[in-house]
Order: sequence, then structure tokens, then C-alpha cells
Amino acid sequence: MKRKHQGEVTTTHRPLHSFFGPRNTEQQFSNPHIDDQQDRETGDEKDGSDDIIEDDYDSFDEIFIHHIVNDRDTLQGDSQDHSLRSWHYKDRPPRLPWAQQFPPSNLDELAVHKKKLSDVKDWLISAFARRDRQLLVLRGPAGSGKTTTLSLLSTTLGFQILEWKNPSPSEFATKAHVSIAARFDEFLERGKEFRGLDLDGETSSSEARDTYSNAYSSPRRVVLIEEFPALAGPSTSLNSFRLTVLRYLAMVAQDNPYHEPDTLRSSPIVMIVSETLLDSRSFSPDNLTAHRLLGPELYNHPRTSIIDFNSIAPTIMYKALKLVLEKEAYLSKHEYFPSSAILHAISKTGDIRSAISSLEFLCMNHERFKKLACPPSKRGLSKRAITPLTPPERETLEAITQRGTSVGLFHAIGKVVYNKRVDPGSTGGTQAVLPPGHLKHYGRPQLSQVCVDELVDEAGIDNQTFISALHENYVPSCNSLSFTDCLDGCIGALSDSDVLSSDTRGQGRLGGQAVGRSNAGADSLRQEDISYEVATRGILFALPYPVKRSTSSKDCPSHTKSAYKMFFPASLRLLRDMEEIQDLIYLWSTRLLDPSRMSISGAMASVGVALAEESTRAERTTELGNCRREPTAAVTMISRSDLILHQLPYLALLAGNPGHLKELGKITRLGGTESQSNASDNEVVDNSGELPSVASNIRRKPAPLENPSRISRRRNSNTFGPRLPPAPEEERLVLIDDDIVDDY
Amino acid sequence: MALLVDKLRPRSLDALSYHPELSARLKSLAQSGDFPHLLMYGPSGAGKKTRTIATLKELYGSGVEKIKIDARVFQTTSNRKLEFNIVSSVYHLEITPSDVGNYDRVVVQELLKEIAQTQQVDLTAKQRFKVVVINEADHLTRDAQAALRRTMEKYSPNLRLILLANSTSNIIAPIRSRTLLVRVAAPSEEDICSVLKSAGKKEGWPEASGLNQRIAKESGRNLRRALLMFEAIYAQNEKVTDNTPIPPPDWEALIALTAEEILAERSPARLLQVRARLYDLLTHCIPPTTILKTLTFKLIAKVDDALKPDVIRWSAFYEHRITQGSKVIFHLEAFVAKFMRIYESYLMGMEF
Repeated sequence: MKRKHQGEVTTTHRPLHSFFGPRNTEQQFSNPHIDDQQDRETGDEKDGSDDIIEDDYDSFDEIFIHHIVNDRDTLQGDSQDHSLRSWHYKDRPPRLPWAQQFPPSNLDELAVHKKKLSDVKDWLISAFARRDRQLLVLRGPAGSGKTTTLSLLSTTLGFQILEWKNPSPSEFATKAHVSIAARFDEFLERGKEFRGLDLDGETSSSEARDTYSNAYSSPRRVVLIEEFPALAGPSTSLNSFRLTVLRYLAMVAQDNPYHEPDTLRSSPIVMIVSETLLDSRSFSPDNLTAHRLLGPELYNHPRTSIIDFNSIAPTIMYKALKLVLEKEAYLSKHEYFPSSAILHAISKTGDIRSAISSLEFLCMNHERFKKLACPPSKRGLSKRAITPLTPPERETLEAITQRGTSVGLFHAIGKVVYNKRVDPGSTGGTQAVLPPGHLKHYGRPQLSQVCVDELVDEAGIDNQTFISALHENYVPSCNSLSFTDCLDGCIGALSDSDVLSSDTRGQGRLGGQAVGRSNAGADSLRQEDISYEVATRGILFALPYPVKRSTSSKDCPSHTKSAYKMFFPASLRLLRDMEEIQDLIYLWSTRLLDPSRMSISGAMASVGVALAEESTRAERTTELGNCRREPTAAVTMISRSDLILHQLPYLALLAGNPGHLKELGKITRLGGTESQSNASDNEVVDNSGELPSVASNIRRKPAPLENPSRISRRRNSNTFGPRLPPAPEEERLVLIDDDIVDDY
Repeated sequence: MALLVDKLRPRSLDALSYHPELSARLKSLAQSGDFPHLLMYGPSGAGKKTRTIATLKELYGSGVEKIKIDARVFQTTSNRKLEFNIVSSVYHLEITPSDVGNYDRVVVQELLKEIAQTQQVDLTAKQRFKVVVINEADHLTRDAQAALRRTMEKYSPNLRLILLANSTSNIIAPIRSRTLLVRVAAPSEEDICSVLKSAGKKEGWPEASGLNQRIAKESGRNLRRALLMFEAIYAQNEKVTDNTPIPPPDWEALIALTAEEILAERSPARLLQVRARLYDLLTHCIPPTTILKTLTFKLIAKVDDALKPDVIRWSAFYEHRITQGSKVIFHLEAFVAKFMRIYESYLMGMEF
């Protein structure tokens, strides 16, 4: 039994070592001397660095990678130059992709926003401090540094990472078949019993020692799930996966009294889900999102917290890329490096892994670049202004970074919403054909300079997403005297285009067009094109000329800067929220239908709430029992719209259980998405005065009106559980962190 | 947490408190032994379901109250798994096919066939046929309705259908002609008041007749809603008087607020703000047509008579588009923009 587990449970144990001294590896290996008392905080700068390589690795590769991580930890030393020179190890693995070769060595080098980092850190610290088990979901686009954050934190905070690995197919053949779900179950249940292979427990970090009195106490650990067992099997295994995790979360409350708290520290689970909201494809049913993975019950579990990672902002990315180049420079002694303009261009992708690899690719034929006296770091710092790309650079760049589509999208959108037209004076050859007198108001004397046919190629995104993005951004352009006409014209065109499109994603119920959809193929392609043309040309037609974008209104003069921002369509992001709420509603409709099922999940929820609530829970379960005993009212289904519109809102007022209240609140309480509007958040809240009844929901008393200050305060505090405050959500909408200023 | 609505639901035809004529008719229909397919229609909260259940009890006796609830899983052609709830007794079965959206045809076909092919198991049963209650029949797709039609013909000896719908307009003519149409009208305000009064008496709550009348008015003659309001008010307030405020559901309050905002200012920025609110409503699964309808009525209450026909016209126009298109927000926003335009030009005309 035990042997089998060793295959699956890879304990990556990263000792926290201290540093300094250009020691080479032989010394380190030959002399693994342990210094228990060395404390990082006190700045005890002993020479004896204690890099111990654990021997539970399968391959040499891993040792090497690991080794480098360790070595590079020594870089944090006093002087950068000094440490960089310590790169010349003999047994450095010759070729590794840069992304692996130069990972960030400490939290300062990590290319993740500081606030995000501290969020994760705080969560981990609090999770270790608590008795009950917690689940953290890190989600974000690929290459936003989720995994790296966790592994770096594991060294700083001093915990081990216990990672679930899906068994390989060959194992299926050799072993008596145990389903993956069963193995996963076992992994979670028994994972805590494994100590990892550190032999004397000498490596627990300084911080760990602050919390525990003796160094031999079990090290803290985190269960990391990055590969999901659910995906390897049939779809029913998804349910068993959820159930296993749910059980794991619920278990500790009973577990703890019997064991000493120190030996059985609950290990929090961290799941890492790469999800992206970049285009409409991300909502196809087989795309993995955190919500689809976890299901409504787990997703809204009181002990689940979710931290969203954004794609990396260009400025941060730029620094990270420079760092990589510096390291490479000391290593390879090359003197040709891409200019900072290239770095800037690459750093716009938002995906650090791909950025580094395209950088590496660029540097392959480095003779193309100008010879620089020094690596671009110093140069780049002194000259903040972006130097323009040289033609060969541009050429190379185009060959490599075609995939950064988002920028193209924004450029294309910008062209439309700025509605550039030919100046009436300057036109030489072509003259606009004007309609006859009775249709004068349709005349547009200036010809449009936007080439509609090429736009969609430039955008590099499917038509429907493009149309959504237009919709998201057209409004500030309609700022003229006859703005109502513009608005009406634009949105009218969009509305037309939607009717013309062949999109089946929506709830096209009871449509006569359902017949036409079956023989889709070329027809639907043509329909898409028509829909796109109608939307784009309609907007170009209806927009005023010249466009002066502005979002200010009478009573909230907002700063003009936001008018130039381009936004990614919010509807796609909201689709995800909608899906969550839909699932929750479904959950509730079954619960209302079946009180017995509710008592199970209710018990789950109440386990989650707190132990202090024990008495009330007992009370409630008896109450539920009563309900079941007496044959209650005739059980029947409630129609969905009734449920949403009437039943649940009032049920939310009546629900006693806080767990239920939270879920119901999520369904029925409104007013959360305002932060996505362009105007700055506070102003919107202040002048609209929010919903009085929302407040009364919480207060449980009739509070007809509240003064704005109280409202805004509550807005900040109303996030249930350890959710993120609304500010990062706003950030998430803006695809590129720095403003995209389009100057067409 | 049994709600009043469920707790006080009358279970037999005799206990129904309003529409006595209709109850009597249903009763004689159930006793006649020749029970047709029914299509019950009427606004929500009028008592369609309650009457259906009572009729079933009249047909089969108290056996229909022994309910079991299953979740069935259906597999679609694209290999998607659909989970689907079924409420059933030995004699009847209740489904809401519209829950599974566009796949409702699969469910209707497979399930009904399965039921109809077996005879009544219980030999002592009063009727030879089983009854299938289909909720939200007006949300069924055309395909599903067509499938239903064939089933109704083929299996009529073993199976009776009771369709529940808000209006008959979305139900295809062949089905309408094969069913007995029963209209359940919304209760009058007096009816609601008397129901509330008796409910209050049963719970031992002090009576406030002024409040009851206000609830009846506020609920839009929707009894379910009235009872929920009633219970919420009594749960939240220590002392209930005639003037206790009635909390509207959040979504309605938000729409009212939106309407006021639109009337107060018309500008691109305001449109963005309204859009944020609409998104908010949509993500909370409020049906778009409900949003449009409520918004229209809130707006109409506050504009001049001359504008009303135009507003209604565009509201109807975009409501139709909502059902046709897939990006609901476009059409909702288009209505708002259209309204802004109409209203603005009207105000301009006033100024000159």
C-alpha cells in the first residue's frame, strides 16, 4: 500500500536555505552540514549554507532544476554582481528553456502584483493558523505565475507541497485497477500521514519554528491539486471528485478533538485552475473553469476562497524579462541583446512563460541585434522613453509574437469607435454620394477611412466577440449634441446584427429559426459575416464625426482618462457569473423540492460555519426532522421564473441559517457588478444611493433609506467570507493593465 | 423552513377558497371517469398548480400525496449529461422539461414513452391511466411540443397530460386543439385579502387589514407573492401595523431605480450606468422579458400620455427581438437608448 503511494505522492520539499558565499556545488554536496539554529530573521550570516537536496526525485532533470532553484536562492545575497558571478557552476545543465532555467528566485523577483501575492500569503498564514481545512482556488490565465507564487511562498513560509499526480496510463496496465477517483480519495485521506522524506526534520524554516516550539513538529504542508483527476475519467468521476473534496473539507471538525493539534495540522488544499476569458470559445461546455470543476456547492462553500490572478501587467513583465536577460548575460557572455523596444513589445502578451520563450527564441540569432555596451538593464533604466523598433526587429517580432491577439483587438475596436473620416477639404478624387433631398439626414458627406473588411483580420478574434467588444466600447464615442440619435443608431445596429447572427449559444427558445440551424455550414458562416458587417458599418454610420470620447455626465464629472480606455467585453465575464448563479438556483430548486436532501447539505454547511454554532445546528436539525415526520404540504415543483422572481427573494428574508443566507443572498442580492462601469466606482455609488432594500436584507429590520456613507461602508464589508474586494474585479476587466491609449 | 405558501396550500378541491365554479367543474370532471388532457393556463400565482394537485387527489385519492423525488440523467446526442428532477407518485409524474433548455425534446420523448408504455401498476387504482403534469409548457420548444403531440395521440389509453402554462399563445395549435383549456384567473384583491386573513389567523398573527389590502395591491394579484410578502413582513417586524413597509424584491427595486435614473438624466454616461444595472439583473438570471416589461411599466407611469404609445411600441419591438436574438443585453440597451431618444426629443419640443 505504502509503496504504491510513493509513486503518486511526490513530496517536493524545498528547504529554506540561506545563502551567501560563492560556494560551489561539490562543497555543498560533500558537506551537508545542518545548522538548526540558523535564523534568517536575525540576519545570522553564517557561512555554512545548508542546501540539502532531498533524494526523492525520479529523474536527474528534476534534481537539476531543483538545484538551480537552490543555487539561485543564494543569489539573494548582498551584492547582485557578486551573486551573479556565482553562476559558473560546472554541472550546470547545459540547455534548459529559459523559463525553467531562470525562474524567479525570491518573492521580489516574482512577476506577480504585490497585492495579489500578499493575498495568497495572508490566506496561507490564516489557513495554517486555523483548525479546519480550507480550500483555495487560484485561477487565472496561463502564465500568470500561479504555480510559481505558491512554490516560492512555500520556501518563505516554510511549508511542504504535497502534489497530486494523475497516475500514468502504464500504471493502469500493471496494477490491479483502482479507479482514479478512488485513488484520489485515498490520497486526500492518507496524504497527511506521509511525512515526506526529510529524515531529521532539520529543514523546517525559521518562521515555522516561530509557531511551533520544537523543530521536530510536523512541518506544515499544503495539498496542491493542479492536475485534476476528474478530467482523466468519465464525467461521473467529476462528481466523485467533488464529493471527495467536500468530505475532506467537512472532516476536520470531527477529527481534531481526538488528535493533538500539532501532529495533525490540517493541510489546506490549493487548486490551480488555468482559465481564460479571452474569447467566446472559453464558454464552450468542455472548457474547464473553476466553477465547472467544483460545482455550485463546493464553489460556495464557506471554506472555499478564490483568488483571481490577472495576466501580468507589461511594466512588471518588462522588469521580469530584463532580469532574465541579465542572468543570461552573466551566464553566456553574449553581448548582443534585444533592445528595450523589443522587450516592451514582448511584455504586452501578459503570459510570462510565453514571453520568456519568445525572448529566448529572439535571442537565438542574436547577431541581428545591435551590440550593446552593457545588458539592456542599465540602458533601459536610464532611457525610459521607448525607442522605436528598427525594421529588422519589427520583422522578427512579427514572426514570433503573432499570438498576442488582444492588442490587435483593441486597435481594431479603436478604429471603429473613433470613426476616422476623410476631411472634406482634402479629398481629391472620390466624393461621397449624397442621398436625395428627402433623405438628407442619412447623408454623410465625409467618407469613412476605416476599412471594414480588414478589421476582423487585424482583430484576430471571432466575429461575435468583436461585436461584443464594440458594444462595450461604443458609448463614450457618442458624445455630441445629438447623442441620443447616435446612441440609438449604434445600439440599433448592434441589435440588428444580433438578430442576423447565427449564434446558438443563447437561449434561442421557441424560435422558428431553429429549423434553419440544422443545415448550418456555409450559411452560418455567411450569417456571421453579415452580422459583423451590419454591426461595424452601422456603428460607423451612426457615430458623430469627429469623435470626442467622454464619459462625464451632469452630476458625476469623471476624469477624462477613462474615456480613452478600451474595455474587454464584460458580457463574457458575466456569463461565468451567470452560470454560477444558475447552478445555485438549480441547487436550491432541488433543495426546496426535497427537504431531506437539504438537511444533508445543510449539515455540511453548518459544519463549515463554526463549531460555536453547535447548539443552533442541533436545534435546526430537530426542526428539520419534524418537518420530515409530519407529511408536509404537497410537494411540487415551482416554475423557474416564479422561483427566481418571487420565492427566493423572500426566502432570503426568511432564511435562518447563515450558510443558506449566503447562498440565497448571492442569488437575490443585486448591485455587485457596478464596479465594471467606466465611471469611477465611488462616484457611482454615491450618487445613485444604491438599493435601500439590499440593506434591509442584511439588517433584518425595515431600513427604508440609508445615508450614502453607511452604504459605501457596507459595500466594502459586505463581501461574504474571504472574497476579494471589488477593486481587483474592476482590474480584471481591463485586459492590459496600463492604459491602451489609441490615438487614431 | 416550510413556507406559508407550501404549508397552507389547500389539498383538495373542496378546500380551495376562490373560483368555486371552476373547482366544481374540475370536481365533476374528475368524477366522470372520462378525463381529458388538460391545459391549465393563467397568470402565475393564480393557483394552477394547486388546482392540479387537488384534481389529482380527487382522481386517485390520497395516494398521490406519497411523493418521491428522483434525479434522472439523460444523455444528449452531443454526449452531454443532463440532470433532471422528477416528482412522482404511483399515479402521476411531474416534470419541468424547460429546465433542460433546448434538449427538452429528448426528455419529453424518452420519458413520456417510457411511462406510457407501461400500464398502471396498482390494480386498485381508480383510473386506468396515469397523469403526467408538465410545468411551464409554454416554454417548451417547438420540437418538444411536436413530440408531445404525437405522444398524446399514440398513448392516450395509458396517459393523460396536464399542461401548465402562463398563456396559450406559445403553445402550438395542434396541442391546443387536443386539450381541454382551463383558464385559472388571478384571484381578485378581496380573495387575496381573505386568504391572508385566514393565514394570519392560523399562525396566530395580529391582523392588520389595511396591510393586507396593501399587500394584495402590491402583489399584482399574485397569491404566491402575496403570501410570501405577508410572511416576510411578519418575520421581520416585531409589530405589524397598517403602515409597515412592504419590501420589494431586490430585482424590482433595482429596475425601479434604473427607471428613475433614465428619467433623471440622458447621456452616454448614464447609458453605461444603466447597462451595468442591466448586466447585474441578467447575471442574476432575471428573465430578460421580465426586465423589459417591468422597466417599461415603471417608465410609462412617469411619462406624458403622448409618449406612451411610442414607448409601448418599442418595448414590444425589442421584446420580440429578445426572443429572436442571443445577445439579450443589446436589445435591452437598445430599448433604453430608444426611450432616451423619444423622451429627449419630447422634452426639446416642450422647451421651444
